[in-house]
Amino acid sequence: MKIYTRTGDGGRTSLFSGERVSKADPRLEVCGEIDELNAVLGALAAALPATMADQAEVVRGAQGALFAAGAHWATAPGSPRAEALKDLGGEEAARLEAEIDRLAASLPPLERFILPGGSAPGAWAHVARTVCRRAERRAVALLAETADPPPAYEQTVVFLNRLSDFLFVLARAANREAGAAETEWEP
Amino acid sequence: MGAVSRAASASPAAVEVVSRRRLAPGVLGLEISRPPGFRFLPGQFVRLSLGGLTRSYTLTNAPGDPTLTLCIRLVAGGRMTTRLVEIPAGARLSITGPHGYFTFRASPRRAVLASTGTGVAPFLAMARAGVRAYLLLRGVSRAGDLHDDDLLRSAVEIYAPCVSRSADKARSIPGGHRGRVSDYAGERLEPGGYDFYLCGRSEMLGDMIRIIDERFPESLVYTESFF
Repeated sequence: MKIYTRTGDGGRTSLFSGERVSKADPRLEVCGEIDELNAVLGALAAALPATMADQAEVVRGAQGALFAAGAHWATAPGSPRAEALKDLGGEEAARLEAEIDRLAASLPPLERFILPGGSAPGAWAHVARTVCRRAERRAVALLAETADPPPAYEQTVVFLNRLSDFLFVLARAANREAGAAETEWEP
Repeated sequence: MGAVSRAASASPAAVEVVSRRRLAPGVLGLEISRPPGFRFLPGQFVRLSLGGLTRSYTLTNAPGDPTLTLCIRLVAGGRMTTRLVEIPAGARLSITGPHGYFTFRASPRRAVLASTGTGVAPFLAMARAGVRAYLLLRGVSRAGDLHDDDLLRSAVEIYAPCVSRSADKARSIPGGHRGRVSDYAGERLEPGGYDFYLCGRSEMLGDMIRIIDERFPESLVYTESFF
């Protein structure tokens, strides 16, 4: 089976709702950011040690949620096709909140900025956090420009905001697990 | 957020073979029992498992039918094909689903359906569900592959079987054309905005989408590619 169809050679692609749009369409931009974030989360999950299998499972849950979210952003608002999509509730964001609280309770409080890095899994978590923030910025921008946006847009923004917080505490937890010291920023 | 991967439809349901029949030399119609509570939309497919093998097959029955029917492309020497062509009534299988989003949506625009080979399967389910479309471009290699002709003919204003081989026989079929479905769309379809439903080989999808971008840019395009 060939995976190339050459249908995108003219710089256009199809939305889930059927419209042919430019690959520079802001919706595609959000989808691309979510896709990139998903790939980085995959690298993060692969880098986490076996002792953090529970956290890797949370990361994989977030990957599934990003697929579901991406489908909504690839659908023109108001299209009947949106009815076919899974509703994005707030469960995944709530799951992340519980995990953030659990991880944060076991970490020393932060009093200064720390340099993103440390162990390989900790560094991946920081990369994922920054990609997540970029996806959130693009989503917020398109949400603001969209008249009568679907609920999934706002739910995605909440989820991304919570996910980046989770990734920050996960980076710290992964570094502690690896015995990698946190380097404080010296202004 | 409810991830798609955790949909309840992912859990397998046990089914039994009710009957099987050859729809065309290379196409098998398999009738299986309907699991309790199983609901689907025309155009969706199931994942069928048998003896450690799993394949995706489109449902072709109407949503209210008591049993499910599947349209199966026979692959010469294929492991699943070998098992299915001789499978007896009563044999046990399992399915998951329904899966997929290639479903029909009513719209003010005219619907153009285009298929190659067993890509016609979702249109059989849609026709049985009462969908009425403007045009069906049905690509087949040989005229003998045109099973369920009458059903499809009744579901569209224009039925256009496009036969890429056996050119003489193409001329003997009412409305038949020699050539590919994309040839018809590029040469005969009048300008306008349509809802295109494309199902079949990726090459056909690619050819059609290039023509749509060039000649029918106001259209919507829904695709299902399976080989």
